[in-house]
Amino acid sequence: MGDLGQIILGGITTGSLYALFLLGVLIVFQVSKSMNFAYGQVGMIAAFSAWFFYSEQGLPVPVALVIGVLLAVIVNSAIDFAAIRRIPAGRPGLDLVVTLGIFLLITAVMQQLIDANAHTFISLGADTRTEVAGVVVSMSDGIVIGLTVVTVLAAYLLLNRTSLGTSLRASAEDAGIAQAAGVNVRALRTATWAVAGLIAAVVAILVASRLSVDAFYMTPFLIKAFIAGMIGGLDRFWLPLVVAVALGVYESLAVYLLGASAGTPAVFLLIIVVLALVPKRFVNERNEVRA
Amino acid sequence: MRLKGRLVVATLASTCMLFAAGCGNATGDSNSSAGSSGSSTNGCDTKEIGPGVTDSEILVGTTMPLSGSGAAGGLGTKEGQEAYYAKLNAEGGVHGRKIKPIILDDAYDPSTAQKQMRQLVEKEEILVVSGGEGTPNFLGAVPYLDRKKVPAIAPYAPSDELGGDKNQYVFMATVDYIQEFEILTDYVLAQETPKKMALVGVAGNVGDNAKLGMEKALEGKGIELLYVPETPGTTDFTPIATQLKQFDAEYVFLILTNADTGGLLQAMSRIGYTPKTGAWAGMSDDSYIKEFGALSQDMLVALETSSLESENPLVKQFVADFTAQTGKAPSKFNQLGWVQAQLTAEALKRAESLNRGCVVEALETFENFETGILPPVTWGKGDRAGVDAVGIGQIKGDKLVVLEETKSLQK
Repeated sequence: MGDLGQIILGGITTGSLYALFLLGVLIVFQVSKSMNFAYGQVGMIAAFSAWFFYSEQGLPVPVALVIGVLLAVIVNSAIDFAAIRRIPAGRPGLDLVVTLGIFLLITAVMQQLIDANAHTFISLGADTRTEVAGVVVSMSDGIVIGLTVVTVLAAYLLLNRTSLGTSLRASAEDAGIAQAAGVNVRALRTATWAVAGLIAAVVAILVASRLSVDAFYMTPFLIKAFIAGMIGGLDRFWLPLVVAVALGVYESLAVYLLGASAGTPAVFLLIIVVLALVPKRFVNERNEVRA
Repeated sequence: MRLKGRLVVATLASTCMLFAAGCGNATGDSNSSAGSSGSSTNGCDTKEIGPGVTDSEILVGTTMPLSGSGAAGGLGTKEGQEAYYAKLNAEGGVHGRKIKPIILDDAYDPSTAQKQMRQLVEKEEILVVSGGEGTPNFLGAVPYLDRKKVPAIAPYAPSDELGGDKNQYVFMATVDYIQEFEILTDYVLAQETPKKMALVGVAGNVGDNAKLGMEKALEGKGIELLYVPETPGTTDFTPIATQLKQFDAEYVFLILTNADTGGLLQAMSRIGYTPKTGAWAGMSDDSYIKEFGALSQDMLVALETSSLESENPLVKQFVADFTAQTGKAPSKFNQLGWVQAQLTAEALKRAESLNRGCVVEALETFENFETGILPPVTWGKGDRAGVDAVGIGQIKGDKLVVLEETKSLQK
């Protein structure tokens, strides 16, 4: 039971990271109907530059983290401002191509500016642990799960219980009507991308503290978050987030029971099964094609 | 019905075109083989000058991961090669010609490596392949090199596929992972007798070879071995760490990327499992020890290259030369790149004529050739292994302590 509990805890923690990351993808998609393939690299900018500033430049860790997060916020906002919103209407898929290019650009720039090596990051509670019913729980696990729950709840309340949330949903539904009703659609959109950048930065820092940081380490997380979004539907809120957590547990169990090589095939097998068996009205067709 | 008919016609036409293209390719290949590769690789024709050779220049080349997750090793190796050739060219080159290395990016991908190697051989027309870095990517290019009879000198691609009779045009200068892990396991068994050992390795040829090496060393010893294959890019190492903890191995050997080694060691530490560890030679690189040394205390590490702090005059000379060329101290991958270029240049110097056949014959004359960086290199007729030894080191603090300079399976 201890081992199984350990696997499930690890899966829930990793799944929480997928879910928190997916939250940023969801709010961007729901407001601007755009997919950002460079989203993982935006997070990478935060963690990798923070590492560079505290480890190589000697800045205090909190200052380095703040600079890293700010860079991610600025870059994500700039992606929308300089690229995404300039894509002409009626060109579906161009956002994917553009952000794929930005993905490659960010990767190359960070490799040139810093390096291509993997680096250890500050541990953020990974070394502090306790044992509960045979399961070792680290402070890092608690931080990840707790932060995910709080952030997701805050996002839900913001979107559904505040006038700001109403404006956001109105902009997403019909930007023209929202604009006519006095909503500053452009500012809201930029703010949404900035918040998504903040979320990406937080997730990337948490992931780096549990693994390591380099120019590529967020890509597997981006893929898993997109998969959860595709299965749960990018137009929904709770379902894709729950799928993301479940995906983490499912993947961990697959690795534990079938071997580490089975992890990725098991995830893609899940997609095939879901697409084949779940009714089309449940899996949003538009998202299915885009993902 | 008409549509169906058109589809059938289109399909037949496509099939014919594919066949035609296939034939065309085959013809093209054979033509280019006769043209650019020359026919002398089955022997040394002293009157022939090979591709890539002019009065002032010799083109050599290779592919490495210069982008992607394996870029750190490729970039370091490239830098090492370029530094050596810059020094050599400043000293006059080989046979009065400067050596121009062309190093292309294969992103650690076998099919890209093959495509890039084709570019080097057919478009750039290099004379020989100078080194290389990364096993799966290089293995992807080997069948092409073999078909084209292009000698590849000292690529860093440890695999049991190379160094034997199978690929006669690849001259290896490092042991394969079977030998490396057999030697590493032998070293542990000479110190103590654990009841259980485990290995976590990159799934595929690399991990399988390491497992085979451990099995050879453990044969008949009654020691249990758990092998856990891993896929690069794993997002959660808890299942692997838990599996290892459940098995309760006293020693865990690792052959993973730097990032994944760090990730696994962190996960093991998070669940309170801290066995003794051992790892492949990549962990002897300064970039690993600097970043993950704290997680890897007392880790045994195979040493394919000499310690940079060695008293060997050849090593001291290398450190001084590299530092003079680049303005910085060398890393393990810089060492590899440097020695790859050094061996390539030596083969070109020894070649009676600058063509591939004569270079092959020159390579077969290497006997205990001392580079200072690698154990003595020997190649001969049918012998492409180059070396059969590694050193053993241990990570202590932020340093790598050499426990044995050279440990060979022959001893």
